[in-house]
This record gives sequence, structure tokens and C-alpha cells, in this order.
Amino acid sequence: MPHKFKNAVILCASIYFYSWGGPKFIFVILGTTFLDFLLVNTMQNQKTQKSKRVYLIISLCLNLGLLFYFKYCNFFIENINAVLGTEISWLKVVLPIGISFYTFESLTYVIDVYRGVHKPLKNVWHYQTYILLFPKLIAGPIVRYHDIADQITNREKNYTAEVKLSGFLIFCLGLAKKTIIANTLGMQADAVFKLAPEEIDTAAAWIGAIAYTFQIYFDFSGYSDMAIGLGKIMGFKFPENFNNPYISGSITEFWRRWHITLGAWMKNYLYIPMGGNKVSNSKLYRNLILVFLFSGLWHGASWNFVLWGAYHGLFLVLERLFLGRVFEKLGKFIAVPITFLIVITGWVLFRNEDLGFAVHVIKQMYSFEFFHSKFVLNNDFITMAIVATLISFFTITTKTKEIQNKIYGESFSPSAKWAVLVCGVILYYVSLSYVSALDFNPFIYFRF
Amino acid sequence: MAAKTKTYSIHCVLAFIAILFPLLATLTNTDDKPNLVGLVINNEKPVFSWSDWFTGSYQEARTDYNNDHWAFKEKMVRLNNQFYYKAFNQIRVNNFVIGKEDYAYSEGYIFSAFGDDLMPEEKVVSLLEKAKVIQDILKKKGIDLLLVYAPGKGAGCKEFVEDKYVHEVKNTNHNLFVSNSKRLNINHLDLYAYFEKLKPISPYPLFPKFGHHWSYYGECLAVDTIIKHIEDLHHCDMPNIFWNTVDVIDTARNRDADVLKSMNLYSNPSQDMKLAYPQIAFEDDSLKNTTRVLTVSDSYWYGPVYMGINQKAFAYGEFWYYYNRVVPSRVAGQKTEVWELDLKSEIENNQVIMLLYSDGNLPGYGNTFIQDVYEMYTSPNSFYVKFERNKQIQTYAKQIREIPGLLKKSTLKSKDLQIPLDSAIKLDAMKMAGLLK
Repeated sequence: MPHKFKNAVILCASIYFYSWGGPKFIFVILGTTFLDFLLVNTMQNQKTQKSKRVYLIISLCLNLGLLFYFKYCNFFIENINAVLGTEISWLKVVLPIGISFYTFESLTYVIDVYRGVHKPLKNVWHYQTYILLFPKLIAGPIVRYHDIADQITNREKNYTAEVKLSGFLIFCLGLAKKTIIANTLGMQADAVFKLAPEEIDTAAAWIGAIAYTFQIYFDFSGYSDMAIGLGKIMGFKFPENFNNPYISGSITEFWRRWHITLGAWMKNYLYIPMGGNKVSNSKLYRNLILVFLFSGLWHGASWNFVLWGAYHGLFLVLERLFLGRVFEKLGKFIAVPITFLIVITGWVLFRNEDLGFAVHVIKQMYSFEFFHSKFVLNNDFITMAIVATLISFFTITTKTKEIQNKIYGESFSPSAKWAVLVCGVILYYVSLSYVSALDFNPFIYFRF
Repeated sequence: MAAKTKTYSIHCVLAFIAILFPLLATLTNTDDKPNLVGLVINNEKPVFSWSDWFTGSYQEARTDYNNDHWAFKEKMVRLNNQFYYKAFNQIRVNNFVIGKEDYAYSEGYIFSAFGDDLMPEEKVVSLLEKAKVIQDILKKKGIDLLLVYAPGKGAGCKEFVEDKYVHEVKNTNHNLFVSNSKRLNINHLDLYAYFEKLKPISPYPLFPKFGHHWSYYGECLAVDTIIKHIEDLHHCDMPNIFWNTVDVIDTARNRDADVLKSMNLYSNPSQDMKLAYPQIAFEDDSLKNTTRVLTVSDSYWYGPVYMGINQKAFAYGEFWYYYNRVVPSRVAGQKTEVWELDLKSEIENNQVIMLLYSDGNLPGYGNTFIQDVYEMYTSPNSFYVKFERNKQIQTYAKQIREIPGLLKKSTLKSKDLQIPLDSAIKLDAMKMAGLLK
């Protein structure tokens, strides 16, 4: 296909993709991107910094206002009612898919242009292609405008057979991570977390927590891999979103490896504007906690996410105070398991909106109370948990990290190309068989 | 000048063909209905309209349609099922698991056998006290009430249950029902205990490996015992079941491999079990076939119904499956449901009312039959008000059960919300009736 038509095709496909899941919201996203484009272009034409700032603020209000309205309005109303005893009625609002992701991308566009990091796009369709680009639209990675700006108009250097083949493999790996590993682990996590609190003993609590720990990683990183892979096939190079987070030796390191693009966004657009590291210690700790509270809230309008953010923020502060030095002294092989335990415990908060239930599960994890629970372990879970553990900790040594780099790289020997093709096709069809069978669970007799 | 970079290679082309192959096969495939047992399928291709597009209902229906009709659906499901069965000893049948030596079980029946679904005793007592009131009221009208407790496969084949389920049994619902039935003097027949006694001396298996219910042989014994028990209870003479020959074969017939069929494998495992099939007949004496018996039961009673017990021994008494579907239907080609009938006259048109539930279904014993009949006789006004209100929901629920597209939606909902299918249907019916937003 001629290069000049590629963006048009991608944009049409993205509009179709988004309107398939959110047919009404396509107008919201098209409308806001159009307005943003106009605002940013007008901002760019302003001569004084002051008038530029006015347009920046309007754009921020527009994007954050929509995010607040769709995602957080009812959460705030609910809490105002609870605190003040008022009876403000809830709004009938449906959350547009991917709003948290594309709002953050829109913000990078306006802020990067305002800061002079990059010039604005000349064509509104190019801007909409950037925001609506379907592989990353609903679940990230959050692609900063600065990182992709040049690729939108010119990515011919990425149109190589190697990049496409690499994209194919990464897409298939992501699909397999999601369908084979994450879905299997997710079923076990669901089986535990739907139990009544009194039915959860220490073993069940740990199994549920571990199942969810690996489920969320393989689910989310699987989606990211699929996005990155599809992006490569289309000539885009999206930033990595996960870098083996469970081998982290501290929570600080964990956040450099987990949801990297969100972390980078928070750092560039929130933490640094708040002063970054160049403030007094007390302000630094306050900023860390605030950034993580905000990060928690970004994940969902519920107190469990806020608490999860605060929990991570607290460990970041503790690491600045003393824990980081303790981890360093202990060495990687002790610090990694401790960090992993902290992360697992945090995921229980993240998974359960009912805070009382989440706290109960955490209590059970550390109470060493064993009794017969109705919950049973399935063989597929045990196998996938072992596979997930091996993959998650595979890169703990330099040698194994090199192997991973080769798999995710773009340079293959002639024989490796055939291996990539065969592995990719196998993973793709095995994943298809999992997807087909998972939603097929026949009833022997209808109980009616 | 630098060499021109290759934008495509044979590997890329093959990879794209591999990715697109299922789509191409689907577009060129004319017979795209997967032949899978137990699949609720909607064969109607959704028709596009802008209004459906903007509500999202077109996309939902089309996604569902595509999921069921893509070219390799059947092959992929069978492949994955086979892999799961071989690699993990797991089967993809709703709530079913495989035990030792390939014995298939409904997980709920294992829980029942080990008392993991134990009901609070006061709930059992309250239900049985109502049953006792009904028994006394009906007795005055010359009708006998009989509660039958059937054994489930979990209890019947405990030794083949996987170790992870096995633990000390403190109490079971079956014990609670039987002990309280005895204490309250309720007419009951404990087939569970009868099968337990029979098991060590039975020449043939009472439960098949790949069947959900008692074996055909077990069914014959159960029918024989029930008829004799009703004769004693109602002081009547009924046509008895008898057999002179028994076919002993190693391939399951009738419902003795119902789970195996639903496993949807590429190649079925050897059944490796001798099963007995008595050549049965009912005594052909119209003077004896006069005691009309109404049976309210779970699927354990479907086998005896297929044998012809209703016509040949129960004087054409009906079977109310889960107190919902009337078997046989009163109108050919249409389903009749219990709520469409006048409960009082229906009950009083029989001489014996038998409730038969296997232990896995004891927590829902009678499916509100006992509560409804109790209320109908003790506070008819409130019962009929409730009954009328319920009719509206049931009308929609029936529609859902009969229209594949609607039933498919409810099955998806039951999976999403992890609730039983009948609860999902009720929710959807309430929505359709405008009682739920």
C-alpha cells in the first residue's frame, strides 16, 4: 500500500475498532481530539507565554474534565453522600473504553507542545491517528507524543521484514500470555476471591493472591505485547511497558519495571512539575505519596485503588528513608523475594473492591490458619503457575536476560526466522484453541 | 548507495497467511455450524441497523455469532478439550470434573457427598415441617405425599473421587433430611441408603464412569423399589417392572455416557466398564395402572420417564422437571410449564405426589414446590397474589428458554456473573418485565 494512504487506513480501522466497543463514545473521542488539535495549534501561534498558558489550561480542563466526569464523578458523589449525609443522586454515566489511556496521551501532546519539546502536528487526521491508534488505544502502552511524533508522518525506516516478523512473534507471545496463562490463572483467582470470608484459610488466601499476581502481569503485559507487536507490523515502535517487574529488588525498582509508560508519565507530567527530587525531604515524601495516590486513583474510581497506591507510595518513602539500604545490604536473592511478597500483598488490595474482604484475605495470608476450604486446586492452574513463575523470574541472571533480548529483538539469523515463524504460528493457534474452548462450557442438563 | 531494505520476506508472508487463514476459511465456509454437544447456539445472523449499532446490541450479537460460527470453532474446541483431558485430567463441561480411573462427576455432587454444601439444620427443619403440613392436608383428601432421597454419583462412587476433595465428613444434607423426615413422621424413601447397602453386593455397576446419574441398571432397581414403596404407602396394587434377561456390554447406552458426549473430545477414551441393561417390561394390567403419581424431580427422574413409567405404572401422572417443565408436554410441539397450570387442581388430580431429588440438589429440594403448596393451602390469598405476579416473569422466562438468541444471552450472563443459568434467565426475564433496570 502506498505510504500516503497508510495513516488513513489505520485511522479508519481505529475508528471502526473503537466504535465497535463504544459506538456512542467515538463522537466524544473524535470531538475532543479535534478540539485539542485546534487548541494546541492556536496555543502554538500565541506570542506570549501567558496567552499560551491560557490555551494549555483550557485543554487540560477539557481533557481532565471529561475524565473526571466519566470516571470519577459517581465516586465523588458517593463519598460526598457518605461523609455529609446528603442524597445527591448518581449520574447515569457509562465509562468510555480506554479513556484513562487516551486522556493521558492527549495531555502529553498539549504539554509537550507547550514545553516546546516537539512541534504540533499539522494535520488533524494525523493527530487523531496518534490518539486513536487501535493497538494501544484501550490498554496502552501510554505513548508519549514526543516518542511517536516523528513516526506518525514518517516511519519508512521501520518497514522492514525483520521488524514485521518481530512484531508477529511479539503479538503471538502477548496473545499466548493473555489466553493461555492469564486466563487460566484468573479462573483460579476468581474461584478463591468469590469464596465467603470464613471459607478462606491461609493456603486459599495465598493461592488466590499468587494466582492474581501472575494473572495481572501476564494479562497486562500480554496486552502490551500484542499492542507493541501490532504496532511493529504497522511500522510503529511503541515503548516497552514491562521489563520483568517481579525480579525487582525494591519497590522503587518495581516501578521502573511495571507499567513503565504510566510511571514515565507520572514522572514527567506530575512528579517533576511538583519539584521532583529537588525539594526538601519532607516535600519529597509528600510528593511521592501524592503521585502514588493519584496513580492508584488512575487505575479505578474506588478506595481499594487509592489504598493500593498509598501502600506503594509508603514503601517508596520507606525505601528512601532506610529500606532501600537494607535491601541493598541483603542482596538480590533476599531482596527480590521480599519485594515480591510486598507486591503480592498489594495486589490483594488492588483485586478486591471490598476493602474489608481484602484486609481479611491479607490477614489470612499471614495468620497461618489452615482448615478445609471448599476451594480446590486444578491441575491446569498448577502447571500455569509454574510456567508463569519460570517466565517471570527467567531474566534474573544476565545470561537468561540475553536470551529474552534475542527473542524480543529484531535481528534474526536465517534459521531463527523459521523458528520465529513456526513458534509464532503454534502460539497463535494454541491461543485460538484456548479462546474457543474457554467460552465453551456446555451444560449437560439445563436446570429448568 | 545503501542496499534497499527488504520490506517483506517469505516468513512475513507466511505469518500473515497463518494469521488470516481462519478468517479466509470462515468467509468461504458454507456449513459453519459447529457440531458440539451442549452448545447453545444462535443461528440467526444479526441484521445490521444503525439504531442497533449505536446501542451496541448489533456488535454484541455479531460478536456472539462470530464466536460460534467461525470455521475452526469445533476443531479448536475439541483440540483444546482433548489437550486438557490428556494433560491435566480436566474436562470442559459445566461444573464437571474427572476423578480417579476416569470417573466423571458433577463437582456439586462431590461437595454434597463430603458435606461441603451443608445447609443450616433449621432451614431443613422448616422445609420439612411445611412438607409435614402438606402431607397431613393431602392425606385428608386421599392423596399421599412421598419424599424420595436419591443418591448422587459423588456419594455413590466416593472411592474414585480425587484426593483433593476427600476429607472427614462431619454431616451431610442427606443425613439432615433423613433424620428430620423420620422425626417428623414424613413419608420418605431413602434410596441413598438403599444404594449404599446394595453397592457391595450388586453384580453390576450402579453408577457408570462417564454418566452423571445412576446407571440404567441402577434406575431399574430404583423404579422397582419406588413402585413397591408406593404400593405399601397408598395401599394399592401397581404394575411392576420386571426383566428376564440382562445385556452386559462395555459400551454405555442411553444416558450412561452423557458426560462423555458433552466432553466434546477428538477421540473418546475407552469406557472400560461392563454395564448392565435389563430388558425391562411393565406389567400390562390396566386395572393396576390406576394410581396417578405426580413426580417433581431433578434430572435423575428423566431415565425412568424414558422407560415409560408415567404411562405404564403411574396412570399417566406427569413429571414436573425441576418444578418447571411439564413432561410430557400437554400440547404437542410446545413446552408446558408448571406456572401455566392451576396448581391446586393439578395436585388434587393425583393420588400420590412424589418429590425425588438427588443429594446434590437437596439445598434446593423441590424448587419451591413445598413452599408454594404450603402457602396455597395455608394462606391462599397471599399465594395467589404472588402467583399472578410471578406469571409475568415466567412468561418472559419461557420466551428466553425457547428463543436461542435470548437463551444464548442468558448463558453468557450466567458465565459472566458466575450464577446458575436459571438465575440469569430470571434476571433477564425481570428486566424484560420492567421489574429490573
